[in-house]
Amino acid sequence: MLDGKLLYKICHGYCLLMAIQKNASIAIKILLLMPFLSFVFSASAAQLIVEDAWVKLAPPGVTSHAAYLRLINNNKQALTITHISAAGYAQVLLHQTKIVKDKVQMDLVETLEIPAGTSVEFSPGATHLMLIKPQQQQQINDQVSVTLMFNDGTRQQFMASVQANNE
Amino acid sequence: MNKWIVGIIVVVITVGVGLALGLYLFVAAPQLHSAQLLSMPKALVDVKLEKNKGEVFTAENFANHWSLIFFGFTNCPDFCPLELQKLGKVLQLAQQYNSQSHFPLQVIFISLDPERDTPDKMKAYTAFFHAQIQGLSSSNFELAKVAHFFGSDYSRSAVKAGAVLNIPAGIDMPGDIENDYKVDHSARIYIVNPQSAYIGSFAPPHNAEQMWADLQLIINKYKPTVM
Repeated sequence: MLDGKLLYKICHGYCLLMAIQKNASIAIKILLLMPFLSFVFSASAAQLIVEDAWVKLAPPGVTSHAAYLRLINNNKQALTITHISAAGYAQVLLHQTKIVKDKVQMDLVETLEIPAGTSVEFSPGATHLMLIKPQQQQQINDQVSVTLMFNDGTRQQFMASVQANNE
Repeated sequence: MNKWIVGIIVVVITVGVGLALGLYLFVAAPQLHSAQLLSMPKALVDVKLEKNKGEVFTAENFANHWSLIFFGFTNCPDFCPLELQKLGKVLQLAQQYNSQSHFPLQVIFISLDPERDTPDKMKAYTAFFHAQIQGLSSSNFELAKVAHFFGSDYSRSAVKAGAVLNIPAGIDMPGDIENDYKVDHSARIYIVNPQSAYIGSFAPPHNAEQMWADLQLIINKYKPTVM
């Protein structure tokens, strides 16, 4: 798989070379394309394996509900999630449900680092994605597109299926 | 001499039978999984909750029912739906049981977020988990009284101008706070007997089958009081 960062560096080097050779018009065109190239190839950077991603069918009228999944980092470096979004929702927050002295509290997880060779489980009653302000009531087997954004600017998109679990 | 031997044999047999019986009772007696009972039932008094608009739910509505009570709020994305799903399952299990032999079971979900959880919203929310779960709420003042009675600690908090603003139990949500605030609440499920007395609670984590098994033991313990 072509590494996005490597390609970006090659392009940047080529532009500098062009500029040095005073062939500025080609160099400027490529420089203008750089952000786009960065975006296109960012998806081919280090990725997580996403397993069992599902959205819990929500009661009618609620303004937030939860999604669960498993993230596996089989890369050689840690990956840090800094932002999450989902199509059809105003906002997505990463939350952790904790019971402290019999009291349920929900803590916001601002960033999530997944070290190399480890996995993170998002499950009911524990870490979860909080999907806020749905644009419409979800039905069983609907698909929700979720995008993870990492601290290196790359992103990863996956689908989560709406399910009514029977826990 | 023979009297001594006979005496020793009698003592050995008596002690042996006693130990065996004790061991049998200890091992064979069913144990509660997660239910924790109070040493003394605590009679419910002065409860004033609201079911539907204008329909009051008082201590009398607990009479002649076994009741399970859970405190939460409908904007709770993870824990409350999970618990209500389990409580719906307990209701199903109770309905399969011979209802002639005990008072019916009722499940009550009390919202600690009356500003957002209107009676209509509560009705739709609870029906999603089981048609017979009753959704109740009240004023913040009354809710704090009821929660305090059960020893059910809760508080609400919001972020205002970059700082966390805590709104203690019993206090109305300030009007300038937007809808995005959270409610920390008890994870316990409280048990009220058919005499409208609080008798104990289920400690988390909860499991529907285990809760129902515990309830059956508790119901049988209280069986003599059934008319």
